[in-house]
Amino acid sequence: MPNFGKYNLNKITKINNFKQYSVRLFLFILVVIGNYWTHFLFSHNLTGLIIVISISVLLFISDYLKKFKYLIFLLPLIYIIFSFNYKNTVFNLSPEEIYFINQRRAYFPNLSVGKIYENKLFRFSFNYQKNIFEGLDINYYFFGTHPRERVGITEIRKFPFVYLPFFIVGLFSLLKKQKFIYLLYFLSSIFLASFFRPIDIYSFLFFPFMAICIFNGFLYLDRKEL
Amino acid sequence: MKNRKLSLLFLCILFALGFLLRIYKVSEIPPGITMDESSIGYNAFSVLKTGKDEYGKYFPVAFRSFADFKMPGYFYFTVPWIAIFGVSVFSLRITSIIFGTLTGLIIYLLVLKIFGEENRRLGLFVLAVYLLSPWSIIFSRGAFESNLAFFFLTSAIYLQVISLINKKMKYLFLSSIFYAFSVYSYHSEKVLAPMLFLAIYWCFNPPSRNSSIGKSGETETVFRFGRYQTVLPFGRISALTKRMFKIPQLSDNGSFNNKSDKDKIGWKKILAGFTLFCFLSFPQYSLFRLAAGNTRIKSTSIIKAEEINDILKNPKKLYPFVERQSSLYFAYFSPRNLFFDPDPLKTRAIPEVSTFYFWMVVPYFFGLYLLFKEKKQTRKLLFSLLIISPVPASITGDPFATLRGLPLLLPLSILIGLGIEKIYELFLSKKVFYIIFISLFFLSLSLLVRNLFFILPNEKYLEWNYGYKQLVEEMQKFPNTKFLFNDVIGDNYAEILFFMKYPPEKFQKEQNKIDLSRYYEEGDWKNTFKFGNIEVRPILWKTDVFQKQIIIADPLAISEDQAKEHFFQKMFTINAPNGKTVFNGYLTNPDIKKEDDRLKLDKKKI
Repeated sequence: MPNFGKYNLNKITKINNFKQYSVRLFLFILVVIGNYWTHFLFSHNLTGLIIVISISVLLFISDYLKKFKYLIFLLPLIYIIFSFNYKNTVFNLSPEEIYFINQRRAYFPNLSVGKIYENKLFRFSFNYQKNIFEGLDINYYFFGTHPRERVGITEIRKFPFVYLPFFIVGLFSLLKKQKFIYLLYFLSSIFLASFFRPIDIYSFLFFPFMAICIFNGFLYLDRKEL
Repeated sequence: MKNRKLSLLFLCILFALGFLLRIYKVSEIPPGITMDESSIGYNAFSVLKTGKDEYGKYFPVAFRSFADFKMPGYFYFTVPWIAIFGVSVFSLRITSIIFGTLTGLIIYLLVLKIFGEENRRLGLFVLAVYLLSPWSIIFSRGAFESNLAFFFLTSAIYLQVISLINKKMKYLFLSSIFYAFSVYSYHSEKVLAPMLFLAIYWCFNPPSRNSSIGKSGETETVFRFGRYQTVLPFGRISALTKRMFKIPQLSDNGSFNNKSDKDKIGWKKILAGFTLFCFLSFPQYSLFRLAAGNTRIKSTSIIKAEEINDILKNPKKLYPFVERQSSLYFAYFSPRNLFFDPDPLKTRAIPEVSTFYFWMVVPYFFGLYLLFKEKKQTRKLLFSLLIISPVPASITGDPFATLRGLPLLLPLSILIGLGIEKIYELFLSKKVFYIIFISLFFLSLSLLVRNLFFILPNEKYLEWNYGYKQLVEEMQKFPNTKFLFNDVIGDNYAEILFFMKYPPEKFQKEQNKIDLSRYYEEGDWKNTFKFGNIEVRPILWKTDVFQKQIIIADPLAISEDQAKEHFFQKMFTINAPNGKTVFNGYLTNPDIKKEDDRLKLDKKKI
C-alpha cells in the first residue's frame, strides 16, 4: 500500500508565482462551477452542493492538510448518517423482488438447490453490484447514461462530454503521480453510496473526484506537467 | 510458470472445461433457435441437397435469407455437419462450438508470441478469462456468424504478428487469407479487417524518434511491459518515410536478430499482402453498391446520409452528433456494460451476467493502468486492438451490441489476464492468491451454471423461439390438414422449414420467385410464404375463419375469447419449460361460423 505521508507532493503545492496560482485557481473554479451537476445540485440539494464543494476544495489543497485530511472521508459519512433512510437501502427488498425470488426457486431441480441459488443475500449482493457498476459507468457522468438509460430514473448529464478526454488524462496522470488519496476517496464514497438505491441519491459524493480528475486533465495541457 | 508439463496440464483442463461448457446440452440450451440460426440451417441443408440456397441461387457469396444478405462463411461450414449429423440443432451449432474453443488456442498462442514463451502463466490467465467469459460462451452455443468471423480475425492477427516478428512472408499471406475469410464470415469484419491489418503493421513499425542510433548503424530500443522486456533493433534510416516501414528484428526467443534487408517485411511485401487480402475479399466489397452489400449498413447504421448533410448545412448539429457517437463508442468500455448489465438483446446474453464476471472489473482496471503506463510496442498493439474493435459496433444504433463488438473480446481478455498477472505479482503469498483466484473461478462457474442452465431456459424461451420443434412434431400428426401459421413479420417460415426438413428442391419451386439475375440487387422482402400444406402470413379474420384449417398462433394473437367467438377447436398446445403457453393450434369450424353469422344477420334484420 502506498504511504500517504511520503508521496511526492503535488505540483499544486509547488506554486511559486501568483500567475501560476491564478491560472490553477481559475481552472479549478471553471471545473467546479462549469458543469451541469453543480447547477442541478444548486436547485435540488443545496446541502449536498456545499458538502461536495467543501470536499473538492479539501482535495484540491490535500497536500497542505495533515490531520484535516480525515475530513475528506468524514464529511460524506456524516452526511449519509444524518440523511439515512432504511427504505432506500439495498437491503430493503420490494414485494416484487420477494415474489421474484420465490418464482425463480421453482426453476431449479429441487427447492434446496433453489434456495442456494436464489435468496435474499443474493438479491442484496445483486442490488449492491448494480449500484457499484452504475457508479463506475463513464456514460453516467458525461452522457446522462446514454445509450443505456435506466427505467424509472430521470437521467441528467453531469459534465459536458468535452470534459471526458481531460478526465481520462487527469485520472491517469493522478495514478502516474501515485496520488492515491483521490482514488481512495472515490472508492470509499462509491462503496458507501452503493448501499442506497438508486445510486443517484448519493452519487453527488463522487463529484469531487470527477472534478479533481478533470482539473488535473486541464493541467496536463501544460507541457511542464507532463 | 516454469514447469512446462504443469502448464500443459492446465491448458488441457481449461480446454476441456471450455469445450464442455460450450457443448453440454447445446441442443436444448439455449431453448429453440433464433430466426437467423434457422435460416442458416435450412440454407445449408439446401446447399447440401441442391447446391443452391432457398431461393435457388447457386453457391451465393451472400445469402439473401430474410433479404438481409448474410455472409456465407457460417452457411458453408455448416454443410458438412448437416451431411454427417443430419438437420439438427447440434449440427447447426457445432461449427460455433469448435471455432469458439479454437479461438482460445489462438489467443493463448498470440499471448505467448507477444509476451514471450516463458510467460505461460499469463497465457493461461488470458485463456481462462476467454474460455469462461459468458460473452464467448453464449456466442459459441449458438450459430452466430460473428463467432466464426472472430476466430478468423484472431487467427489473422496472430499470423500477422508472427510474420512481422519472424519476418516470414508465408505467414503474412496466410494472414491475408484469414482476414479475407473473416470478411466472408460477418459484416463487422468488412470494416475491421483492413483497419487492423494496417494498424498492426504500424504497431511493429514505429517511427524511431525515441531510439538512439548507434555508431554501428543499429538502433536498439528496449521495450518493457511490466516485467516483460525485450530489445528491438532498428536499422539506420534517416527519413521518416523510411522509418515508417521499418520492421523490428525480434526473433522467437526475443533475442537480438541481425537479418539482412532482404529478410525484412518492408512496405512492398505488406502491400503485396494487403493486395492479396483485397483481391480475395473483392467479391464482398464489390457488393457494396448493390442491395446485398448495403442493406445491412442501411438498416443498422445510426449515421444516415441526411444527418451528415444536415450537419454540413448547420454546423451547430455537429456537437450533438459527436456527443451521441462518443456515448455509443465509450459504452463499449463501460464497466457497467462489460461486467454487470447483459446485452439488451436477450438472445445475445446470459441473464444476469454480462460479457465478463463482476470481479474481473478489478483486473480490468489494473490492465488498463498497465496499458497506459507503458509506452511500448505491446501497448501499441493492444491499444490499437482496443480502440479499433468497437468501431463497427458503435456506428450502429444498438446501445451495446455484443455480437458486432465481439472482436473486442480479444484485447479485453488479454487486458484482464494482464491485470490478474499483475495482481499475482503484488501478492506476497502466492498460495493466498491461488486460493482467492480458484474461489473466484468456481464462483464464476457457479454463476454461469445458475444463469445459463436454469434461468435462461425458463425466462428467455420466447426470445430464443422455443416451441417450433414441438410444433412441427404436432403438425406432422395432421398430414392432410391445411395449416395457417400467424406471422406478421414473416420470418418464422425458416423455423418450420428447418425442423420439418422440408425438401429444398420442392421449396425452391413453390415459394415466391425472385429474379435470380437480380439476386443481389433487390432487397425487397415479402412476408407471406406458402409451401406444402402450410401458409405463413398474418391472419385475415374476414376470410380465414371460413376455411377449414388449423390456425397456429400465440396466446396474444388469438385469445381464448376470440377462439370461442369463432368456434375454434383447440387441437394442441405447445408449452414452454415453465408451463406457459407458447403456441395454440386451433381447428376452424367454417360451417358453424357461417351459420352463426347468418343467424346474427337475421337478428339484425328483425
